[in-house]
Amino acid sequence: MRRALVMIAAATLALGGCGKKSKSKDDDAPNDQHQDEQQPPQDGDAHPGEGEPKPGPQPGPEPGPVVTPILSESEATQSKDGAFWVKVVWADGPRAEEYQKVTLTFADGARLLPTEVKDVDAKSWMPSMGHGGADDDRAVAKDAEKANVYTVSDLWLTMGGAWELRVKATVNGKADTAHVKVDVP
Amino acid sequence: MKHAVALALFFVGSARAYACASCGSGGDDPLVLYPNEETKAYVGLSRATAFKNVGPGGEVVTAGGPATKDTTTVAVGRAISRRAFATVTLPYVRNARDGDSESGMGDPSVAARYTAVLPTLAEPALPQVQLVAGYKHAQAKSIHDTEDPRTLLDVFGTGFSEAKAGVDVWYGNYAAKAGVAVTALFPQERTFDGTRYQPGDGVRATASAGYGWTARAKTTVGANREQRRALRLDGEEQADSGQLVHSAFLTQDLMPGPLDDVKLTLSRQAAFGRNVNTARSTSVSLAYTRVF
Repeated sequence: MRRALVMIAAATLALGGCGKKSKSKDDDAPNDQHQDEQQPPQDGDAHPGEGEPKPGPQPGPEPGPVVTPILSESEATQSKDGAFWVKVVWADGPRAEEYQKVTLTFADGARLLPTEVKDVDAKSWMPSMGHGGADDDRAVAKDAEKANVYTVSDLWLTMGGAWELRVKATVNGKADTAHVKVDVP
Repeated sequence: MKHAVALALFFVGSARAYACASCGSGGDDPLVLYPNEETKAYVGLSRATAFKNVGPGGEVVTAGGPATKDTTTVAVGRAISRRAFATVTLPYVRNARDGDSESGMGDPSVAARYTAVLPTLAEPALPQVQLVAGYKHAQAKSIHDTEDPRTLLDVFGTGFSEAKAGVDVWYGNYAAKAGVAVTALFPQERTFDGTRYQPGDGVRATASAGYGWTARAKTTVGANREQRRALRLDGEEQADSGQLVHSAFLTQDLMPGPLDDVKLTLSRQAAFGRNVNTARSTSVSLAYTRVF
């Protein structure tokens, strides 16, 4: 029995030495800042004495950083080649035969905050009829504060029915298109 | 009997299906000739209103485009033989909405019919059987090349030429009459803005029944079913783009003289049953036909 207790104590001391987090290569990645914003604070970061052996058994290998997507699969649509996800919010609609404005929120292929979003455009299309809306006057604007948010105004859906908003963008250097389904009453 | 046949054939044209509210009517042939007729003319006025779109799931939604579509149709028919004749049909369309309107020619069409089975007094139970062929030429603006994409007031056609072939069977020798017509529809592909459009082939079937109250008055009711395959763009089939429409019509036919015929028709597109990717509307038509 005594021998067993000695072995447990030795193992505990050995594992405690692994608690200190070392800076990894990934910490320098551009996404890291955003990932840190998405992570809940770690207890170990908030208390002094980090790295000191703690009593009791400790977990084995250190888990990787916790990454929380900025968009859920249920609220966003993935682009055709998986380069990005986009969430579409209609300002007051969707409605037929009225000027419409949408807000596009982009995430990268892993649904994380992207480092760069550019070349954004969005156009309405009615697949069942094979025609688009009257969108020639549409205007695309980048949000002043959030680099992954754009607005598209002056979209015009010609009639009600099953439409798509076809969103083009280059996200983290990858150009792709997402077809976002829109049911217009 | 010949007037009843005319009615039955007219109904095939009057109960036309619209691909969508703003698209054209397809321009079927409203005029038929009988064995003893050489030349015949037709003028019809129709007004379609109460447009609603029907989506891929059958949901009824905003139609868009004109609120009223008035069509003046002029057709002339000429006998080729005792059993065959040809017709030319020209529609002129006026679209209106919120005080604005635009007018223009619709898609002209030609058609020919050959009477394969001609009933006689000796065989009154024999139906008349006609073989039908026709072609509609897409010359009017469509939703694919409109210059007024918000109001669609300049859209007077579907944008696609279309050939058709079918058979028309009519029992008309008695006061109670009935008929069935089935037509295969073959729209032609066309390129708009670099995209190749291939509308799906279709089948239109019309069943009608009528009663001749007197030699100069008939009433006919009928139903129409039109189904089309999915649209293809650059060879790729578009999901949920097939069309289905069930329509109904009621016509009162009066013949003030032996050479004259007046028809008043009330029809309803997407009137019953399952309808997909089409338009619901109500139309009233008044037509006059005269033999020369």
